Amino acid sequence: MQQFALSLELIISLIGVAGIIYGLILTLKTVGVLRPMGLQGRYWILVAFIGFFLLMYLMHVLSLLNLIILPVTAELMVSLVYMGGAIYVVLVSVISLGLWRNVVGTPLSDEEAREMFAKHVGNAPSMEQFRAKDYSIKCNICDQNIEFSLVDVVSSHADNIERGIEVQSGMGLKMIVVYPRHVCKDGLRETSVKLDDSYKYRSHGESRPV
Amino acid sequence: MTITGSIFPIGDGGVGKTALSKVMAEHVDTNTKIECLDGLKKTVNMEFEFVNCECPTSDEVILLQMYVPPGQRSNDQAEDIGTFEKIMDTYSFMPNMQNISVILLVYKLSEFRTLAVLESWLETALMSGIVRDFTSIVLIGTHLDITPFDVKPEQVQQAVDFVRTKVEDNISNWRGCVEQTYVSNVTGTGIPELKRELSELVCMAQHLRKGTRSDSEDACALCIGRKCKEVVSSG
Repeated sequence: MQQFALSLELIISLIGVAGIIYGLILTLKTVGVLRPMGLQGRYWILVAFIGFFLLMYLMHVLSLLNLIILPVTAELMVSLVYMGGAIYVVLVSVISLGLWRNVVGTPLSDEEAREMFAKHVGNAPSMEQFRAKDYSIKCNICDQNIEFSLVDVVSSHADNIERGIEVQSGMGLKMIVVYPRHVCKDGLRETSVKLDDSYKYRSHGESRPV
Repeated sequence: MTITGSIFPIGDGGVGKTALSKVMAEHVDTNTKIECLDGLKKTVNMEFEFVNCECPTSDEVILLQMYVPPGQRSNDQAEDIGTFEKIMDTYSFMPNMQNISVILLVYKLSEFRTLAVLESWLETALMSGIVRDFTSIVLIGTHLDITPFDVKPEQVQQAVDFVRTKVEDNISNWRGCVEQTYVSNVTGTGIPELKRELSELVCMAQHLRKGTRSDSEDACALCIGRKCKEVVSSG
């Protein structure tokens, strides 16, 4: 019976080790993807935590095989892993929240959205014009009609307004390019829509994946 | 007699400066298939084209010397080779670079950004001293054959006013003109009109330089009828 329990512990621990190694590989891949944009910082912290978990799991496996004697009690080791796990979960949640805010936006009141728009663009239309779903374009991928207001654009890019609203100015002229988002066939996409300096529609381009 | 004038097109890469100069040099009429654009590559050095125009009011020949610089700026890429600034440094010794008759501010009608960015090109031209008191400026919207247009006619007019004010602010006794036109390098639309326009401006620059441009009988029959005459004579 004791032998069975030991074998079970060993199997579970080895599955844990395999899982953590796979997690480490995936996180390192994410670091590789984010490195060109310089956004990999937080993921190195995740890598450090995963390394810590891997070390603890390996020590546990080796102690089960009686190959080493743990320098700390099993209870302390479990407590350490629990604490590390808690910090890890918080970190992943923070990253995930930032990522999803970036993708789907942050709910804002109309006033907050208009204030953010005015700060970025330099001025803003009336609240009525800002709220109105006056713009309508057709997605070149899914062919659906996308109706949007400037509030929608600001809200969906609240965490990264530069990505959602681009101001092109020069020669005493100004053009605003907004990127409204919609759920397309293959997920979220955004389309560049050009507005003149009085926020009237000029033209729109092809959509791009978010 | 031949009147020679230097034409200097500037604007972002890909707006059609090189294509415009080639079409002007080789295109005869709008029904001819334009073949000189085949295999056209990004300009990385100063390119030269020579366009002969006949003066419609006299037997003079007007030679437009086109100097086409690259459209890439030094901050656009890590390597500084083949950029506008580098080429300007290299060719600054040429006397003709100090006597530019007409500067062409070239933009794509289908891309507003290329018009907006001309402000920085104009500033560069003013700072480098190539805009002289006799230099005229023409805004040229290319890609007339590609719709929809991103740029409205009233925006172009605003841009013309902006250029005029900017140059007048920087060059106290400036007597040139600011004009605007649209062309298609592919179909040749607007090219004959542009040639005529440039001939007039070159002629005018020549007379301004020699000091013979006025309301007097010395004035050239070609350039005297220009709408900027009032500005010129009052200056």
